[in-house]
Amino acid sequence: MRPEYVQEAHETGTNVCRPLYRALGERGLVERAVHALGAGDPIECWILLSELDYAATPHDALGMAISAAAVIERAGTDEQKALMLPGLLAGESLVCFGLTEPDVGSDLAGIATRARLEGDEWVIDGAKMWTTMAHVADWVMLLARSDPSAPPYQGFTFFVFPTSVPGFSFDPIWTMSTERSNATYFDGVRIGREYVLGAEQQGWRTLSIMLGFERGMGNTGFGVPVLRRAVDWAEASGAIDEPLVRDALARLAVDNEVAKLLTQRTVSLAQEGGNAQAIAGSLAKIFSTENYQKSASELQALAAPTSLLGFGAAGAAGGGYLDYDARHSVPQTLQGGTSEINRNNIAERGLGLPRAR
Amino acid sequence: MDVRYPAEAEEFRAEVRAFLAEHLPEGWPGMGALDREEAEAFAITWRKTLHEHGFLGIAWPRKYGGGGRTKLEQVVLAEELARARVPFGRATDTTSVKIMGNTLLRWGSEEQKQHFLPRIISGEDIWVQGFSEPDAGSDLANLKLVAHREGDSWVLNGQKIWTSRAQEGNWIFVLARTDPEAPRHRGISFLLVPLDSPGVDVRPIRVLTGQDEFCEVFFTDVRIPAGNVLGGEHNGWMVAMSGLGVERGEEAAINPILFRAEFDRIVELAREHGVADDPVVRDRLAWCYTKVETMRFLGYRILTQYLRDGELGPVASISKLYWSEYHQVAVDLALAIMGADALVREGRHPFRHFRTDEPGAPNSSNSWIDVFLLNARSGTVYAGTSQVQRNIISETILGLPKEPRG
Amino acid sequence: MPFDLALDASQEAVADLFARFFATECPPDVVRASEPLGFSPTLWDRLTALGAPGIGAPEDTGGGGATMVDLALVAEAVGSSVAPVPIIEHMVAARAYPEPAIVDGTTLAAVALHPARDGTWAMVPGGAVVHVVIGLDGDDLVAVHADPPGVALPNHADAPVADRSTTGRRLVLGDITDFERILTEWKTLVAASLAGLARHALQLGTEYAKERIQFGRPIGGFQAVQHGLADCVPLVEGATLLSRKAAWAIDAGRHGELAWAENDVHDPAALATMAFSFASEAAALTTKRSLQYHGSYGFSREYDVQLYYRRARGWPLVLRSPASGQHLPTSSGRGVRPTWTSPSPTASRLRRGPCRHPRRDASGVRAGGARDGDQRVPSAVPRAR
Repeated sequence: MRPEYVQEAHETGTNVCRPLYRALGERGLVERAVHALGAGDPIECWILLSELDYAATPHDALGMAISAAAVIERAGTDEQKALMLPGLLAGESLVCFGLTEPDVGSDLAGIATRARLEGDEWVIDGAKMWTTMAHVADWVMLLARSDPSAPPYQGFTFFVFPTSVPGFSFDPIWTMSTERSNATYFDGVRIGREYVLGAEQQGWRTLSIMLGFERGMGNTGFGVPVLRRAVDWAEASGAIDEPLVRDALARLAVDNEVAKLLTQRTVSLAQEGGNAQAIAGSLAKIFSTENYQKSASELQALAAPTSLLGFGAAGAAGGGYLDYDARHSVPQTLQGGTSEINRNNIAERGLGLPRAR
Repeated sequence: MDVRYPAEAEEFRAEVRAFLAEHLPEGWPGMGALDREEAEAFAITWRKTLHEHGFLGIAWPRKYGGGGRTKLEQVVLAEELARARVPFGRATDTTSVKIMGNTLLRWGSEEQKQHFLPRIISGEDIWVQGFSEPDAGSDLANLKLVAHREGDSWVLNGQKIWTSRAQEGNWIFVLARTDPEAPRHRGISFLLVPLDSPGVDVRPIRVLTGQDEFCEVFFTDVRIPAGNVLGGEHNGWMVAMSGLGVERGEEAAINPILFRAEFDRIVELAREHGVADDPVVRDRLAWCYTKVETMRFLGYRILTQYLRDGELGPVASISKLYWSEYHQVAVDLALAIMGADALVREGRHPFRHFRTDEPGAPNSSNSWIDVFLLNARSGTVYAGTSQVQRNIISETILGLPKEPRG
Repeated sequence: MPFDLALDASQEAVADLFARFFATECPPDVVRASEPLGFSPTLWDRLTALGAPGIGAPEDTGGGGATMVDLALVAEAVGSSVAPVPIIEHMVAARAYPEPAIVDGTTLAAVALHPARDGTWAMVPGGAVVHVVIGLDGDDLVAVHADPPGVALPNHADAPVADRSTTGRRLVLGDITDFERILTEWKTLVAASLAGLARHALQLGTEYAKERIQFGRPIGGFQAVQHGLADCVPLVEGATLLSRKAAWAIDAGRHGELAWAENDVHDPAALATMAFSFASEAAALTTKRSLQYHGSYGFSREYDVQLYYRRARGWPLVLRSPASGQHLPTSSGRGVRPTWTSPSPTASRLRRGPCRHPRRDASGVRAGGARDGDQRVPSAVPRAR
């Protein structure tokens, strides 16, 4: 891990670090994480990702590749495994996910992207939104409506195919959170039936496997580098002696410990799967992302005004990290399931309250 | 925008101040400095003094025993009384004068007004409110107390709950279902019931502080004259929802004064506990101060809108949500300042159970503990829970779609 | 198994046993009947019959040799039923001073949380009813045998808190290090009890939200209520896990492992303080929400949620110094060991010492809160031998 890798990620807004991924792949660490995840015992995956988290590496793309590989390992055909897994496990190839759309966020069952079978080919038309990594990915995983007349949660098909197919394109979307995402377009994309992941018309099931894996991966360690950087700033600036700063740091330390325990619990429940793990995942996600947001903005306020300055600006508090975290934390309560959807999940599936919708 | 009062209001303010200077003892510390009996005795005498000077029911017409003043003058009076740390009447007058009196003024027949209003002003009649029922809280229209006609009488059967100070009243106004066939909000009437009627049974409820000021009121074949209905048969929902305009305007003006007085007590508390220099405490105090100041300007906005338009509308929900949620944070700070002292009960208890303890109250732990357990805590429940206020704000002010209801 | 957040079979057995015990022996009526003193001699006798008082004392003293994790599970059950017995204080005392009568529970014992001032330990939890108080007096950790006052300082948690004198039959048990260990154990177990309390309060609120019909549907079907309750779940789970981890860390004895920069904290004193702080806030918020969704009923003494609401604030307050009371790393930096300090006992009540005699406050009203009447220990309380 070298500082210039981090700098590159910051400059491009793309949390990718291929040299690091390759090095991890060479040591067999990616493969172990994928196997652990696929086997429903994601402890090694969690250890890898949380260490990458704590070390503040650009690991977003690797996490996506790991979850994609685990889904392929679970639901893919032998041919798909042979085609895709070697590159993914070596840390060479990257994946993007085409799930949400311009008009569809939390309610994925309402997607408009269509897939229709013509002879032995699927033809895909539609647009996806927030397809992060599309500009660097080798593969795209896509959820499409393949039978518009089917009942809810049926009539979807899940695809995985190369981003090099004709008819696939993207536009960058630059965000206030410093990250670059993409809008992606599928204009008459034609692919063979061998690119269907899982059974045709059973795409919701493949999606559920993937979402289940993601809950078990425990990407909840945001607060740890924040605390470290904030302490660095506080010591360098002398603010470490201010009670308000100490109060905020102490709270963050406690919250980090709880986020870790909630995540460990999710991971240790993964073998049981089902409801308990789904709820545990929602808890850990809400707790860690909301506290990340809260502490990042609180620390930015405490370190003002130089906390408004970003990377590269002279005199920026924490070398620009206080600004970075305050912005980077914002979309975390949206992506991967909004806090509101997670609260619904906890209330209805965890507490057994009646459905609100 | 101009937040100054008109000149005539300021003249009236001077008049009120002169009156207060004349009638209050020098160095008057506020009701909070008296013990319970002294405070009750003072309130009775003080009410009489206010009455004699036309300051009770100040904006009511003189022919009903009121002061014949303007709404703006009523607000100025309320402000000055709050600043001087004196009540506007007795504890029961919140329901009697403010709620029942104003509802009568708006909906009563001439005969009803001439009969009831002077008796309220004189203190001969004390009214209590019977709205909530066990199954009708936030969903008040779900009420089940029934009244049916038998000859020249209404016959009431059912129950009310959370009636404040029912033991002290002699009349209760109730919302009763008089047409079970009509849609929920249409078949309700606003009925007037003497509390000494046969078949009325008042039972106090003990709450978590040990107080028993709130009551259940049971009605078993209670008969009242057919004329004891306000605002017309089956029109009770409109009557109940209408009133309170000027009272809410008045509240908007005096809440910042009450909460400012309470805030000053918290600052004093921080000094007493030697933590006024603690940066974390100062940070939280500054937050509270900012909230109270904002409350003042929010109050002005509500007040001026009321004086201009003559009605308040959903903006009252903002005010209610604002002060009740603020209050819980402020009292949490008071408890944090006291630390372990906030566990041990000592000293004077508050004798009002809505909003703040009386201005001038000593910083006894009992004052803060009771306010924490009851006044502040129940503030987000009574008169429309915070959840209901947020629904009103989102649906009425923001124009969001209605939440699905059963 | 090195990584397992689930309880093992014997821990499950302890948790089940005490959950069932308190559910059977300590329904809310028992809690109400014990107010305002906050002590049920019958419940204590039954705990004694179960062997609970000495469960954590070493086996060679006749105790149960249970781990701190086991005791945390007992504490969760205590909190879950807001049981009117000073069992947490007693279990901690029995580990520090495993005298036979304490181990078998015939003599009740408790720990003073604040160093003695002018011959008095202020606000000893359980102090109203115990015969032995263990606390810091100067540089010594001492045990003092004396009759309890039988009167609690009037308090809104209806807890048997009292000021205790340092005079009586004394025995020196150790020094300030031993006292800090006791404090760590107490904080850990109270954190666990607050986690149990919060869990039960959440359950009360959830059940009520399912039953209470307004606008033609259960109020739990409205997202405003759903989300308010859902917010409490991570807090309850977090408080449970963190207090169990603190207990586990005491058993494991990994003192000084404070790699917070790598999110790898194992030091028992640090974890206990973190757990205490987190669980206090979790219990305060959870009981507040639960009470709110009970509407006006939550305020009525007939409803159970107010029992939880009052204790959620009251139990941790005995340790609280005024103001922030936060727990701050006093030095920091990677590789440097932060010292985690507990709040300094500077609350005015603790500073000015005991308040035995009613004072007069500014209003001339007699202080001392005799409103609830005298709070006498029933004669059934066992006497020290």
